[in-house]
Amino acid sequence: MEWIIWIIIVVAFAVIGNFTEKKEAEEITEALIENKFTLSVKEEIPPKKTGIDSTCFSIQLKGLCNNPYGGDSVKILFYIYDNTENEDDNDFGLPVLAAHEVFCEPGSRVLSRQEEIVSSTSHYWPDFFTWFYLPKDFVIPPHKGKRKLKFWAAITRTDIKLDRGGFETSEQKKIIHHAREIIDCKFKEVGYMEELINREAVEDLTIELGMGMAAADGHLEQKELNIIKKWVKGSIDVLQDSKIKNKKKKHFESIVKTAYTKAKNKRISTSKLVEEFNDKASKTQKYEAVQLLLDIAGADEKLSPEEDRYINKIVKTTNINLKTFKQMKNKVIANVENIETSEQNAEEMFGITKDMDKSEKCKLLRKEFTKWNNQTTHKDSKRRKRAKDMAKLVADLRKKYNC
Amino acid sequence: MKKIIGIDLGTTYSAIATLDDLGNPEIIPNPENNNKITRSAVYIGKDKAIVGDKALEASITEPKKVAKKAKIKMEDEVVFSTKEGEWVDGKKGYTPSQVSSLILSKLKDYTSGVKKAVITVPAKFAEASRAATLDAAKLAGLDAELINEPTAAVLHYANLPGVKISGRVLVFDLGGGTFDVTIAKIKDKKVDVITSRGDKHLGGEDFDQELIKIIDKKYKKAKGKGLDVKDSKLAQTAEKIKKILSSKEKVTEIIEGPKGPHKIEIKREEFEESIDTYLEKIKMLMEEVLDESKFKPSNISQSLLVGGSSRIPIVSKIITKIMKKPPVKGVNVDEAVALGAAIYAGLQNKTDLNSAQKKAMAKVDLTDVCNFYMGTLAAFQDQERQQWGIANTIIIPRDEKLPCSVTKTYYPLADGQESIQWSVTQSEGEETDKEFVTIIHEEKISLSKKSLATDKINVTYSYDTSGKMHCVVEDERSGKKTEKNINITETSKSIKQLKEDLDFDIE
Repeated sequence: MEWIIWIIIVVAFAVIGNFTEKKEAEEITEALIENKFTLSVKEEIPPKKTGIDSTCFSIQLKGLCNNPYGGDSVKILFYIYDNTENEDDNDFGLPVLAAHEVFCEPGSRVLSRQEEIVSSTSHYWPDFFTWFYLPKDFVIPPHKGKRKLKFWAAITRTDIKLDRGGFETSEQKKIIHHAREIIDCKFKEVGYMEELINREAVEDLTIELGMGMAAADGHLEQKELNIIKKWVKGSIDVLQDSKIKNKKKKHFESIVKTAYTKAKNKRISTSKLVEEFNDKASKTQKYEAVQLLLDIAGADEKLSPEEDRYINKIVKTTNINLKTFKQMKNKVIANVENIETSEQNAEEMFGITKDMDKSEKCKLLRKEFTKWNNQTTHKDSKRRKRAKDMAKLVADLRKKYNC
Repeated sequence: MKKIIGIDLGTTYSAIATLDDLGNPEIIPNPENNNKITRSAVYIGKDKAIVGDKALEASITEPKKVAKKAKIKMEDEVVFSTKEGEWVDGKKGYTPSQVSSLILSKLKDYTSGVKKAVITVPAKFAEASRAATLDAAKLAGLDAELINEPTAAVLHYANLPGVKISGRVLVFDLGGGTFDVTIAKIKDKKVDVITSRGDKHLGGEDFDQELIKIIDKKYKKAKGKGLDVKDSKLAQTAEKIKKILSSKEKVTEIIEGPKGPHKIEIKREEFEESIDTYLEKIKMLMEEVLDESKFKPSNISQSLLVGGSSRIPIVSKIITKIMKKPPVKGVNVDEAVALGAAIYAGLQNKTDLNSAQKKAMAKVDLTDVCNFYMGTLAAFQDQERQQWGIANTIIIPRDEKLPCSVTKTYYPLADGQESIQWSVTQSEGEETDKEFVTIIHEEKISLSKKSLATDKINVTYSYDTSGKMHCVVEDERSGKKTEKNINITETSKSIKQLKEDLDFDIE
């Protein structure tokens, strides 16, 4: 009888064992589904502690990040593709570029984030966590306007090789898990394809704007023209092919000549020019143009109210950051010998607007005073003199407002 | 007995003080005339130099040979030309350090056996001006260290016998050429400086210039021809009028000019209106010092006056309006800085004091602050302009209590980077823009051969109470340390060279 009991026990164990294995397998499958590698993207302003105060995409991940091949580490990859022209979301459109090196794929400007992490065969993130915040301003799509962006993240083997957001077929098998999220976004600034197409036109417009700046105070001075020539030379020098260089040189010569004649005859229509420039120029190109205008303004060691008005008019319509512009302009102000200021001109220079009340004006002026008064100990005597003049200008305005 | 002294090297007047046998500070008067303050004017003749009021007298006959305002020229690369009678760019002439050294030599001769000296400088003096002041001390044969003028003044106020000054105070120091406003905490004889602000070009001399403009305008209106506004006699008349207007509502003065004498009347109101831009600057600096220290006027127990120009009535009115209570009066504002400097000299040289002096100094204590932001330049990616840039980064913030030591970590830009360009920057504001900071030291430092972008470069700045800064740049991978003493006691020029030109008998 004893052997019957033993058989029953063995069978029972086998049945129970089989049942447990099945249950475990089911549980694993369930866990695999439940903990599938998932990407979630939200548009938000990050918490204060991050120190970022602009709108960002918060990139969140959860689920499996294991290495089933037995390695102790994996790579997390992240790219964004412009899928506006693609109907199938499984397709990959043109990669999006990054405005900041921190978010660039090594060796290119393609937006990417890559990180190697410790893993195991069963490693997973049970809950969503924010991997990183991507400032929206850092995302450069191929074109401006409404774009359909495909945010793509993957868990891969660490030896995966990537090139500008693309993989060789042989590399694709190194992708262990991947996930995506599609988001519609609107971009005001021109995209990188437009920048490429418009480059020449923007350069021509920049020269014309520069010539308009040089002529703003009623006379075109050689020093100002030299700044434009220097800018043109810089644009040619970056080219490597001598044929292209020569072609470009001839083109610029003709543009400079035409712009000069127009400026001399006061036929430069700033409004039209700025409208076209804003439509075609990228943010970087806008800053380059503004820097050129500021250099021209400071070329003759003085900043006239006309020059100041011209540049302010352009900047107001370009949508560039006014704080950054003010910093750029302050450098010019600090280095010129003379500033011919009218009262209105001075107010504008310090950022005083009509909607400000007395206390706001007084506070702003005091900040300006601090800035310039601090410069009165500068090593350069010319800078010290300019700083003294600016501090006096602030004090005079404060008197006017009876601060 | 060897003496320790404190010197207020002023733009228009200077003074010297020491500690008496009981440890109380006292002014050493000029033995020739018993004056407690000495005019900061120097007549530079062929083989003799005259310092003080006599120099000013000489300026009437030989105006081009009298050098004034050397203090506010300290950081400029100028010389006083006895040919042109003014401070000019160039090499032929006397540097501000040399002229100041003649004043210091004169003051030193009021007493004998001087061992150590403390010289006062405006809180706003940058490294270059401080170095030039120490050059002047060395040329005068003084073993000196520096103290900020408002700090010296507050030390004096804290040690006034029979006067109880305590809590948070505002020190308002308006001298002949510079203005400083400081907030400090006084408890018994312990002084903690909290913050200082100032203007290196704001003082009585500027007010005199405005008065000269008024006088010239009135003379021209009456006689049809203007005055020589650079005439030193006219400057003296303006100063005299300014002083009278501190006690009277109007002044009448006969002015000698190219079209003969003319009687001119100037009202206090006119004078005040002429200096209102300067007054506005004073108001802003007072507002700033309160804002920066995060104190309201009600948090400040007293406002203390220092400097001759603080006697001008409108100045007291401004202080009263901003601080909601009048300033403390009764102390000799011309002497406070020198007396405070003498106390500091005692504090720094306790071993040289007698037992009574040591006892007097036992309770005296001082904590000062760093008056500038000290930093370094670093590369950063300009997010807005989408390009690389160089920005100033702060290592020691302004108003940090001294002594202090701060370390910040930086990284190479890329793997394999061979060197870094290290710079020491100084700024009065929290500046990120490299265009708005002064670079006081620059050096190329080699990195280890296999450097990585993740390697830490630790930059440590240590600032001591006497204004000496020690800097260490450590490449953590190789352990290599580059050290540099940014030492304001280092002379800016060859003292030997400067001394050769000063072979004078000093009167």
